[in-house]
Amino acid sequence: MKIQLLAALFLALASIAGVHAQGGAKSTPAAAQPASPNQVISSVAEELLGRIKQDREALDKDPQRLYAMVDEVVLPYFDFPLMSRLVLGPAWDKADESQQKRFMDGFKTLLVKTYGNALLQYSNEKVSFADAEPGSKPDRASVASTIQSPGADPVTMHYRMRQKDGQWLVYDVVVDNISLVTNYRGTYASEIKRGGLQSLIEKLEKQAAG
Amino acid sequence: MYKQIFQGTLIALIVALAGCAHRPAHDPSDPLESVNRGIFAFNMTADKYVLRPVAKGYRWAVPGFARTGIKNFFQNLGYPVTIANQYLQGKLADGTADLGRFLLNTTLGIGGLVDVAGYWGLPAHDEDFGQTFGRWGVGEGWYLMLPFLGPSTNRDVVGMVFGGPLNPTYYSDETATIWGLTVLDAIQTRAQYLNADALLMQQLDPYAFMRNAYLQRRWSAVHDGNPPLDDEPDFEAYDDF
Repeated sequence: MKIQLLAALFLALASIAGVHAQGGAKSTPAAAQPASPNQVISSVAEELLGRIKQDREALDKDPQRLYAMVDEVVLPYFDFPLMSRLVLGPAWDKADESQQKRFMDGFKTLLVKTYGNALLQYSNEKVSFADAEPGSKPDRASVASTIQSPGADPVTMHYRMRQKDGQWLVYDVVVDNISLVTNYRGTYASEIKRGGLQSLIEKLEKQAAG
Repeated sequence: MYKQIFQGTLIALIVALAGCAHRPAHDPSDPLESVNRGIFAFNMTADKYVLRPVAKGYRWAVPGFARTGIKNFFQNLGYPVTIANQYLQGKLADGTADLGRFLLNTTLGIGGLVDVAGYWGLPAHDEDFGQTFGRWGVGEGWYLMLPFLGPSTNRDVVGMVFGGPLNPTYYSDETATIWGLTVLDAIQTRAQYLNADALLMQQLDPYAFMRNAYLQRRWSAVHDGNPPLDDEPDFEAYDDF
């Protein structure tokens, strides 16, 4: 049970990338229409898979290159301003503009690093995607994906997405029923309670740089 | 005599807990935090020097299909807890399907090593007394960090004690076998999550991260994967964003 959660979270990160994505991903959605939630998720997975296969050794040796790759392939499909806002919760509204920006940058760098390192550890997982489920509103959707690794229980994850200016963007990843946004929100809330927002931002920046 | 006092205390504890409301995972009830953090640090050290290296060796030495068999075996061994709690939660059809699953896997599946029922479309469930109490309206109580066992809550500790007698090993006198099984189960469980270590260590506060993950997951398990979204942040306000 205990460690399971973390594993799940970790797998989540790895699988956004879909190290061994299975099932036909359509990498070229129809040009005229915006990509559907499923197309977004599966094409990102396929792209990442291809890049890693091709470049594994170099990426293994040079973390900066790895982070740059994640940045380029994955980030355009994440709604970072919204995520940052959800993660900070009420503290976001109290923060001034420069604090908001610093938090967003630190949080982003940290996620890219965590995610990139997670990617490299996986190799034998089978990843499958289900059809998108509609959300509570027409501009929300959730794409489910299941990861199966040998000797472990399958892990189900949901990419929660919203449509912004026609484009579907991920704003939360829910792994085995653990929401990443809620989890970071809880962790950061206790940090803010202890030392204030400024201290959280400084710690984030320090960690992002290290 | 001693046993009766113990049981009486447990029941009293449950009744007391029944008054506790659920708290969202981002605002947990953790009055023992400083003690919990000490135990967490201890667990992490024990893990670093003992369990983790052993689990790594296990993953390296034992091929994937064998690890799957071992995982299946332990899942099946603990399955009576799931069956009983399906019934206690009033899910008669699920309970009966799970009973069938247990019988199939124990016989045709060679003591649980092969998940025959899974191939035939009977998926595995995971229920326990903690979830049943939650279903009955008992709050989590306090968040607890147990030595060696990891995160829990008052409610889930009581649930764990109730679940003990439903595990077949409870009735065995073979102390050596029981210890052997317990150790193997710990190793194989830990091995499943080796890749998660990096994520935990990259957190600003691993203790808070684990607490949050545990509470979220249990809250969801009580509601069989479809919890009311008490943790859903107020999304509407951000649509302008």
